[in-house]
Amino acid sequence: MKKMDECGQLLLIAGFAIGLLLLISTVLLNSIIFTSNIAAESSADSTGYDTANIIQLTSHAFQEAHENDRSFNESYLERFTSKMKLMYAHSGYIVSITNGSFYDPYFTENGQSDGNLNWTVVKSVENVSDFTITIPENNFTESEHFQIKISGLDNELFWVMTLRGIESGVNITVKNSTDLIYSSENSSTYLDLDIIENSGYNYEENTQNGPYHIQFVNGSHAEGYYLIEGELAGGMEFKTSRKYMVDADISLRSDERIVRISVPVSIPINND
Amino acid sequence: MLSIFSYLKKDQHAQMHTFEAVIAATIMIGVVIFAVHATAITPLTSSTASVHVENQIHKTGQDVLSALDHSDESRNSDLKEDVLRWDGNHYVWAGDEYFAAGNRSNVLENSSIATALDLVAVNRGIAHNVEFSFIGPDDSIATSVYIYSGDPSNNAVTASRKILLSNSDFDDMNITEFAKNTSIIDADNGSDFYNIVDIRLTMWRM
Repeated sequence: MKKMDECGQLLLIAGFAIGLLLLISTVLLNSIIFTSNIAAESSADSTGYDTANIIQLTSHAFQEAHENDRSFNESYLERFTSKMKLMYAHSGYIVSITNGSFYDPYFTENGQSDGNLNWTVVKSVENVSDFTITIPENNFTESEHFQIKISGLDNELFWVMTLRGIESGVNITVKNSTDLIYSSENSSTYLDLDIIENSGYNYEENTQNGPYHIQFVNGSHAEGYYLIEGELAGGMEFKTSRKYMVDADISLRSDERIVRISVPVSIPINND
Repeated sequence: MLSIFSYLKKDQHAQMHTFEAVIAATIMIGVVIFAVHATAITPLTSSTASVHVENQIHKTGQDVLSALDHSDESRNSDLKEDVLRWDGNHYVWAGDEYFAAGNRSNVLENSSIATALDLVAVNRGIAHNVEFSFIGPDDSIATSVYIYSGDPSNNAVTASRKILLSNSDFDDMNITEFAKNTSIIDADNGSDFYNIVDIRLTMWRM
């Protein structure tokens, strides 16, 4: 004990050990904080918001630029794309937008053949002033049918129109919750249905106990256009339509990442 | 007492002991000082907590603008309507409402941006500026202030959302008067394209 008491080296070693321990703890703690800071910075990435914004802008531009039938106002589109490049350049992005050809939409939610085939087109409708369905070339097979369904807020059935493929064309039936209201066969390849004007469909009589939802069922079985216009519960007017689809090819490039997407844009019916 | 003094006089190694103890203490203190300066967790330095807070505020701003820019097919979004209805003045927060700088009688009404910021930012002590950037003459980018709360701090974050203006959006309005009041000009007279406006929301915690 006397010998050890005379050696202060133990004290020095203890000092070094404590110092080393503190150093290692500091380095580890710094690494943890640095790593979590880097992770936190990555969650601040706004590319998702920028992409959603550019998709919405492009959709609006295509809808504004749409002219008669299947054509765009090329001057509008050209100005739009050049000014978009200018605006995004100031944010550090290189933007490229090109449009594809027009094509007929399906009655699915996104207009594509693989889109959501059973969907609600309009919710909480009080009344409808205009409701047209146009199928330019019906090619229903006998196993396919497309339905326009009107159901109440508790999902009770008010009215349903079914277009079913038959050997000679299309069978159109209309039912309410209890009875068959209308039935006819149509051999024409072109179907133009005005649901409000055709009194045989009894649409208004069966939808008086609104508000209700307008739904498309099996929308992937039919290609065509629709226009629905009216008033929502609460008094707000609404109008929804789809006539064509066009694919927008968008490229958004920065020094960190490149985003290339192709988005189907729905073109509404113009009331020109 | 005399024996203690004589013992001390005989012990010649005590100086080394003392020296080693002092060195050991100096090493430990030096390491502690190094550790304190090297770590990133002191309250005054930028830390994980403040980065997360900035991210949160940034997301809040982006979500506010995204929600205001939602529209269905047949009508403009609330954000677009705010731009179309703007009279060109810049507004400041007065404790319970926004009024035009230099004119307390001109209160900002029917502004969805103001309503949303009152709910989301004001109640949480988050200061905010809203600016509109748009294409000016000769394809330059011009900026006008819509809401001003002061110069942003170093920890401010900016969210932005762009909207498209076309000539058809001004059906019920005087397009010339709009351009004169707001400086948002028609960037192309040869087509229905009017301008692209970038709404920039800068937020910082007070």
